[in-house]
Amino acid sequence: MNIQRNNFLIGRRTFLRGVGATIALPWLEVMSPLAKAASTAGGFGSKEIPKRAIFTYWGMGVNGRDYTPKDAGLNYTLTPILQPLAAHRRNLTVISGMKLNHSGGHFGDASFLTGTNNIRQPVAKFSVSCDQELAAVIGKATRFPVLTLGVRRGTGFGEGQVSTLSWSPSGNPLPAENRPDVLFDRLFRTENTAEIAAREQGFGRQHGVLDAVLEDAKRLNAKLGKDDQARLDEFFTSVRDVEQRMAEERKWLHTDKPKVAPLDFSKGKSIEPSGKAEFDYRRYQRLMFDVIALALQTDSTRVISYMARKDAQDGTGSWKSMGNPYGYHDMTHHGEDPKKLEWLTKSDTLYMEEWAYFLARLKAVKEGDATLLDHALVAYSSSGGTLNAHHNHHLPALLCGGARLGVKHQGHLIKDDTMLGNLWQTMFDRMGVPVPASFQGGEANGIVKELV
Amino acid sequence: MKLAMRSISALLTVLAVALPTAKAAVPPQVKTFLSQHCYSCHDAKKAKAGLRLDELSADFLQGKNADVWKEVLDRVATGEMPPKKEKRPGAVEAKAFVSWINGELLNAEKVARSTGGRNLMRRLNRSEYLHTLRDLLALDDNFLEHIEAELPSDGKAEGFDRVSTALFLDQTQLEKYLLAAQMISRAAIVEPQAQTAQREVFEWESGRKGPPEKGRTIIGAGKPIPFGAAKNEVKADGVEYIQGESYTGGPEREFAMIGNVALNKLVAQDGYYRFRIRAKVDNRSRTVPNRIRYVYGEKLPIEVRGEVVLQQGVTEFTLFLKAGDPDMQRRIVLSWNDTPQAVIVNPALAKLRRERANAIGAVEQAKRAKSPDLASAQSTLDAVNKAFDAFNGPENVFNPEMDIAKLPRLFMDAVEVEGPVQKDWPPASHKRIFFAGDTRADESYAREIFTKLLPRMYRRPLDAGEIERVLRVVSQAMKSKQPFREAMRLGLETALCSPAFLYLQEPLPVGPRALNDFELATRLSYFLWSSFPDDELFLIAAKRQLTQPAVLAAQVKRMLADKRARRFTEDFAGQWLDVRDFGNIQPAKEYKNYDKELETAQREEAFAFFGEIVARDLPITALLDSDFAMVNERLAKHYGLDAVSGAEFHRVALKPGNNRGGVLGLSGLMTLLADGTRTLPIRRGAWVLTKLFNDPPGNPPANAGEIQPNTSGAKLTVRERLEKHRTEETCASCHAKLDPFGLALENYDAIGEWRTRANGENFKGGNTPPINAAGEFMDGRKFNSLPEYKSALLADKEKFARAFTQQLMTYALARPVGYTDHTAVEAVTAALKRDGFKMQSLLTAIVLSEPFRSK
Repeated sequence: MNIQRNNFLIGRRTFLRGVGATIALPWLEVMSPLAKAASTAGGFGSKEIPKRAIFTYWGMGVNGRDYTPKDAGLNYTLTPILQPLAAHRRNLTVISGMKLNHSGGHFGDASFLTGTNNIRQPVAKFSVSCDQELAAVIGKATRFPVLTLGVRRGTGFGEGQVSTLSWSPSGNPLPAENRPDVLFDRLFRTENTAEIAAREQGFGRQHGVLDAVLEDAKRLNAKLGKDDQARLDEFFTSVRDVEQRMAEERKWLHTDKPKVAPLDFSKGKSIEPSGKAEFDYRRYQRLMFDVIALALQTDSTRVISYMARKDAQDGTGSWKSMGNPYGYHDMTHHGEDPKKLEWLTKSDTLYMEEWAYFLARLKAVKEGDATLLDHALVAYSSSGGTLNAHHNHHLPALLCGGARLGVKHQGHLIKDDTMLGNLWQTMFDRMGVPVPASFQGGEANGIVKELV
Repeated sequence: MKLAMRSISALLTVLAVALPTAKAAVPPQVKTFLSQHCYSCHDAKKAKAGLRLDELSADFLQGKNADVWKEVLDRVATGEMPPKKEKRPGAVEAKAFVSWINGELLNAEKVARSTGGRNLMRRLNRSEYLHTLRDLLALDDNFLEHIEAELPSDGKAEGFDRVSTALFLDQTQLEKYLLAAQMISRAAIVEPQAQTAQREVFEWESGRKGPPEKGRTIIGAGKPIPFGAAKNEVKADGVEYIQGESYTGGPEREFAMIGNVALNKLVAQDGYYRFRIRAKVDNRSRTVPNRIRYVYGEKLPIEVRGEVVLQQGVTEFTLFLKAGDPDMQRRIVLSWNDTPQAVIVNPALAKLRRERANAIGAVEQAKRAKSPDLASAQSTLDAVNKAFDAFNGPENVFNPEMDIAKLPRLFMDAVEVEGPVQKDWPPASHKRIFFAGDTRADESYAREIFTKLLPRMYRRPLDAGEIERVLRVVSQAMKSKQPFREAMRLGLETALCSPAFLYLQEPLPVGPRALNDFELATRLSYFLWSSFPDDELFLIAAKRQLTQPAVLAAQVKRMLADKRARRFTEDFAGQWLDVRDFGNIQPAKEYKNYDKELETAQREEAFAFFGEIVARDLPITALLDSDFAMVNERLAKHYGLDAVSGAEFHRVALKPGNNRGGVLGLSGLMTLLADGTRTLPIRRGAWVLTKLFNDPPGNPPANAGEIQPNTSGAKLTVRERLEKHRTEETCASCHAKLDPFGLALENYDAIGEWRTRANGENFKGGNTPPINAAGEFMDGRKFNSLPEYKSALLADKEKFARAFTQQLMTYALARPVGYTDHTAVEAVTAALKRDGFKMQSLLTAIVLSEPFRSK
């Protein structure tokens, strides 16, 4: 089966190269259902289409008054904030009432994909996030086993709110990337022969350096006490990890990166959400979603975690563009102020428009006789509630796509008091990956049966 | 010396003080509360929601107990439990119950974080890594900025990025170290020939035209009007200026633009670029120097501004320019301090324009008002139009009030730009590494080089075999036909990635034990300089004299006088005072006085203020209140202080009515402790308690009620709203303690500006409620104003001194300071008090303390 997949991969990549090099149309057009002949020419055979999982996080919940549908079931009435998703209502389920035990206030961001209390003392246990667990099983098949993305770069560890959803098996926060152009570069920029040779040489060079320092580390280790040895263990693990990654990368080195038509990253206004300079949120967000869609479409990765909006500080400032005088966090402390509530709904709707854009992008890519969206499990959720952003219950949650992975959408599904970990477990189930032992640190106890 | 190191056995006794274990028994009053309000559902019989409280242990460190207690706290505090239909607990009862859980949680947190007084090995943090390289290889600051951008930011614990448990090392971090090492080795070791620079000459007359010969058509006039006097004259080989083109306003107003140069092609990479302005000045009656201002990449992240004095002939200067993104406008705009108003619009023309505008206005008004004056207004306009038609020019004239012949003339010939150029070639780093020049290129030279370099990098004499491992890399590279310099780069990279460099280690025997001289030198230099020991420290350590208290104390004094001590201010105060976060809160537009310049000044003020206390050895009580402030022109204006001019910071004496002084007078801090729209008294109060008194309030329950913002109906001040909030007994338990500390600072608005009436948050106009900064502490002491509040804080100076000592020791020791350090903290605080709370005494006492000198 692996052999088959590899064959297909080459075919697919060749096709995409053709597109990029010869017609150089924006990929979206080429890939849209209108360009039928082109888009099915190198398409996936239905059995080979990979399964993907995307976890996205939107800090500080959503204004439930204008988000949560009043009625349940397939034919629920769309609310103002869900309105932008009208075209996709059959491709998603709005799940209400889920909870994240280790949340509330502003520290659930570190629990979101780990289930456990990953930050808050006295009993913080640094544990692995489920995107990493999933990638450990299925990541080998792609050039990038998993992408860790966010609206801020780095980990944000120790700064109040973290900037990443991903945590390593040893419980270290993994830094997120926030620049769509840099991400695009990593995914698609073709390296010329000189660069490849340089990289190969670089691998050799790094290998030599690591070899020598490993020797240093071993000598040092013999001179350390037990506790210090535990610290140095991280060094050994990292050397092993880097060696392993280099071995993986080496395998891909002579496999061409998929060719896609370039995106327009020109920066009149910055598209990097640094927090220190004004930037164009909508352009950033769409470029980010464009690149993510491309990464999935080209099978460069199958697992993605994306902190699209931070806890407490938001990170995008998108609401400013509408002339909104309040901060996002400020709006969640609305205290029934009708003005703030109105702005909160407007802001949430703006975010939802972006989400709709993303779903439309995934839907526009044909795969077999279905779409990319049908072959991807795309989750939208938060660690803050819909009743109050500082609650750990009644979280907003959308599971989108996955029709071909056996997801049965339910419209609006009420799952009061169900752990958010159960949504992740449902995704594992549909990915065909058994959940590992002590999944989510015990903060999951089954799948959401209605969805399968 | 009173603080002399005691014997190891005495030290052991100190460290052996056992950690207080959380009491496993639930105290009776808590038990009573549980049995009256909780057990009926949560005991062995019912265990609703799977929760049994009857067997919940009070050992908060065991299993999930703390989680369960936290849940209980949250539910009770928000009134969710006991359920509405059950009997409600009394207010006092509930308050006591909530306080107990909160206290135990905080206690357990401290114990959980403690390392029992042990120092764990840790890696260098980003700031230390960069400072170490700066000192080791004399690398260019602009280059180090690149490395800084590559390295991930560090995790923090105990408020500082120096604690082992938050300084992770994982695959990403190691990959970045590998990458940084490669970048460093390439920048530090260079090839004999500097890379060739590109050069472009911009002839000033090229593309520039003189005024239109036939004149121009002017609105209002019937025919083209001659141009008249011109600000400049385009000649065959340059342009002669009497006056520049246009003014940008603001601080630039005495400078007028004379043109710009597009560097889009030339500046393709970051680097140094050499500018040569070829120009002559005919000064005539001018006595002040002629200056040229330049702005590169205006308003972009790559912006560079500056000024040079113009020389006759060639004015040369070198700038470090960043290329930025490919589509950024990489141009440099030049301005000259010319004579404004030398060329003016012909007064007759100006008068006609004014009259015409007035006449049109009168006609319009008369039309709107259907006034009988319309006819006369129209005839006035007709008359003006006629006069305008008859106007023959010229459009511009030389200012009749000036003696034009005596004004200076600037003749711009050309601007030549060359780059990227190397400032020095070979750079200092190269010369430092290849200390005996570039002629030798053999393995014995490599050995000599690394014999010098490695002990500095590893901060100790080398172990057997350590140098061989680096040299093996070098010789292998040379064997595989790599040139000597490339082989040396590899060797350097290896050393830069070695755990001996990356980690600050204090190897076996395990502690508790006294540090050896080199370990002590390292701890000291990373404490005060964020870098490795310099030659003097290293030499003293080699002589085994550093462990002598008098020598150690003398070193502290020397190091604090060094300019590298600024790093202590930046790294310690940057985190203790949260200066690194200044600028994270963007004030709303209604705060018109806030801008980038103020933000920068606020940050520098905090460093200058803290640095002044360190450098002048002032009492640490100055942090609570001071009779001086450190300000530059922008801040002096913000604070309404006496004139200080320029961007430099100066010490200014404060008078009682100035309402500044101490860290609470730093407007940057007050801006940070607001949300951009309104002040956040609770955050301010929590900050004061946490940072100044080491007494952090308990965390609010997860689903806590909100401080209601102003709704459109009731206009309440934040104080009034807090009072409403406090009527909930469970909230009151914390807030009665917390709120006064923040409300006292209400005179500082959301950008730290002084106010006596409410502003921001829908409060507009002059008739807003007055600010009331009065309050009462839990112990009954009252204050009516900010000065009284500060006096009250000062009265608690011993508590503050202890708390500040703890913070500083956490930073110095790079580990949590807990119960086991109790004796040392008390001893240092006592020494501090004896010495009149002087900052340098404190730093010295910490360095001389047992925990600092032992592992």
